[in-house]
Amino acid sequence: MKYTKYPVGPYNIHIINTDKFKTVSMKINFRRKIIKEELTIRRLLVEILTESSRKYPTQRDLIIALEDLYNLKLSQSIKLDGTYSVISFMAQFLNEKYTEKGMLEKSILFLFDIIFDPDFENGKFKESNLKKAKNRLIEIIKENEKDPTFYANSRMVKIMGAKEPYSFSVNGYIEEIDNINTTNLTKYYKQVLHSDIVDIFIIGNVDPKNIKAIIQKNFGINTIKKQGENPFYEHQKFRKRARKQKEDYDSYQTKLVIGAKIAPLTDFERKYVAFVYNFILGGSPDSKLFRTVREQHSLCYSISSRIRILQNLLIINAGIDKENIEKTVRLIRKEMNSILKGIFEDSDIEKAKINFKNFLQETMDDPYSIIRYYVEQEYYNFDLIETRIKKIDEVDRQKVIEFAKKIHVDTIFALEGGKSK
Amino acid sequence: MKVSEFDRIDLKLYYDKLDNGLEVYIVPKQNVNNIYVTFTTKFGSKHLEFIPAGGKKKIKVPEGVAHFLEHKIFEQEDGKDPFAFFSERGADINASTSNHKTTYHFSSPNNFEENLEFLLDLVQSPYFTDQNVEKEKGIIEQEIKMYQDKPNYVLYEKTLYNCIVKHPIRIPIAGTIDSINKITKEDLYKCYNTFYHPSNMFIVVTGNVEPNHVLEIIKKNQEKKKFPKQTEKIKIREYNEPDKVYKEKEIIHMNVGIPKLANAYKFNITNFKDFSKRTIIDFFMLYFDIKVGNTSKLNEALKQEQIINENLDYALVKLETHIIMIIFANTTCPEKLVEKLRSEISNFDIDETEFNRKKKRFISSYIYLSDNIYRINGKIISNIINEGKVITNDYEEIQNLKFEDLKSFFKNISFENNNYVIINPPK
Repeated sequence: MKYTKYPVGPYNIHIINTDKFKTVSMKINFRRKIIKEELTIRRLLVEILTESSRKYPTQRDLIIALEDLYNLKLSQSIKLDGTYSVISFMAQFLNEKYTEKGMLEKSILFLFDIIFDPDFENGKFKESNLKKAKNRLIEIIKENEKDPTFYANSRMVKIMGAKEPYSFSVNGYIEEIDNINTTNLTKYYKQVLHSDIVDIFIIGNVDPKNIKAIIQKNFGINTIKKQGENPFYEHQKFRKRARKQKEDYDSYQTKLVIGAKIAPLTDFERKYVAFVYNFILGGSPDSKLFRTVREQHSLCYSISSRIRILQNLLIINAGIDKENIEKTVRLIRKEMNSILKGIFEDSDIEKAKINFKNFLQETMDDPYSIIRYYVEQEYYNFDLIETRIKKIDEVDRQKVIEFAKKIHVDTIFALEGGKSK
Repeated sequence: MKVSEFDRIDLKLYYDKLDNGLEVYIVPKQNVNNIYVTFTTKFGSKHLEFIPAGGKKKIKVPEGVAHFLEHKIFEQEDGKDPFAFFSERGADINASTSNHKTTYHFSSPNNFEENLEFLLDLVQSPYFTDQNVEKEKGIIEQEIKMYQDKPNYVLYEKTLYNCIVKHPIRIPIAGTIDSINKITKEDLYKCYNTFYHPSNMFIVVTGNVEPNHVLEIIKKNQEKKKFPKQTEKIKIREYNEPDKVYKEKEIIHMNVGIPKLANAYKFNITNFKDFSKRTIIDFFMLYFDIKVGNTSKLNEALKQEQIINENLDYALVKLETHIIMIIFANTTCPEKLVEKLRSEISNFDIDETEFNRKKKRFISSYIYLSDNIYRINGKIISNIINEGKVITNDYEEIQNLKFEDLKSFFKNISFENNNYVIINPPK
């Protein structure tokens, strides 16, 4: 596997040449600092771009074209990663070897068309397409609100800090959708092309020089950008006592969500200790939370913790019965405190390390995981795999305890289901 | 070991059957780090009435017992926690139960031999007590409630229930809170002794392994264990499933933003001697994809008319004697949509270009699959469960699908046995 980066100016090209896969996978990222007022229009832009294009004016035409490209897999995502909003356009397609000559270039150009050649009328997005994109977005937002886990988590972060980017909705806000028209959407689209930081990642059995030439000839961005800034969100205020809130919901199960803020971390803590801590607390079926809350007390089927490293948040989720809220919270806090007091085995640390190393090895088996690995290096200054495998061994008991001291439980939210069977 | 080759994807299948009846399938893939192992019993939620091992009379076990048993396999007599064992070695272990089978699986790039042996021993040394069975009821009750809060899941479940009259696929895989509370350790042992015999199970290993080495580990492990001789096939109740649906229409209320619709079509497939069940399934998938998939004219028109905003979706469910195709949609006018779907589905007017394009897509999907050890493994399991053997000539099979055959097949198909379920927001 060979990685080459070409910082050509307006954007970076990252090419990973490997004969591991029968596919070529490509990911194009556009990122900029999160601005709350932009979220709805930004989300709508992604929706409208990937629905159709000038050459393929309906979604049906577009999907037929994908099938003709031997089932090219087109996808898109938009995420709030720390202080940045990242839009990704992705295409995965079979290597020419398994289809026909010329398909590599055709497939790459197809993805470029999605980004650069939308179905415009008089220099603007079409009214009818915007209407459809709006309807879909409204449906997505409404569906999410009716998903108890999603809703409980978004409520929890809003209680924690409604004005902070970690609580913003990546899908935007229904009440803002009406304000978006073809004029301001087109203007925003041009802004994105002009000023977002752009990275192109390609992995497969390809000739880097050839790929670079295809991109430079066809990728329509030529404005030089500043480099990115700190992507990590740092919390300013920490609560002494956690805030508790409840809300009734029309469901059988109660969703308990506990959110904790993590005080500023060292580079090492972020890259290594966080993984070990979370693994011990609630990151696996062999974790403290799983063993205690599920196996010993039969209180839940699902319980887990995760650390959102870019937001410096620790979030715990459990699905329980309403009458067990207090008991579950008590057990969870007890387990968190036990790590703080050093009540865990050295073997717990060892397990976490082995899992970390195996996870890295598995990462190298999947094209998009490999791309993510290079994204992490590019955006978050993560280490090379060889370094990571060595450095994780430097995590010890004391470092885990130091990390635990930086965790401040902030918000305990219960979405109370009350329906009986 | 018998070796065969998967057509056009540079992969080989190694196969052997051990003396105790256990079947082993291995697909080595040297250019990945990881190894994925699955251990499957042909025992799923639909196996509710059967003659237990050593018995003479048919018994009926509580609904959800296969899934309950899956949970309890993780209990060990020496109190060792299997999750701890695998996590010490950096492996992920889990299990899943479907209508047709239960699978235990782990993946890890390292400690392969130890992990494999542990998995075999774990599944082959049941330890059920009144106490540990009781303890699990609270956990599974929460699992059932979690699903009961998911509208898409409830919609699927209700539609199947109303479509099927007798076959136990109509019952949720996990059972109900009432049924699981009736389960005893005796039920679990009866099921275990009947369905977890090696001759009713198979192992599939995909990833960075050497086939002979894998077989040797399994053989050595199995030789250490004694199993009763299994001479007869397990007798499982067969269901004389009617062609009619159980209930044609139902409206339920749940916490949804936009109403949800499922429209299911039930087809008897026992009368088509010219085509294999596999070909028939391909025909249905092709037909529904062309008719209501995201390249269909109907889908585009419905969006244009704002009857739907997102694409229609569809799924296929297999019974021994029937195929059920279910179409799903979020829509503000569900009843109107049902009418449109019914009229579109029963009208065969597709052209050959579309048919050929879909074939091209099927073939591409097959090549995509071959890059991923989880998907290769899953394909093998599903072939064994559905076909009783691994299919290695998928490429040829797809190429051989003929438009004329599809046309003549659908000439004799009736679409009249269908039903629908709507989920509306709370009143």
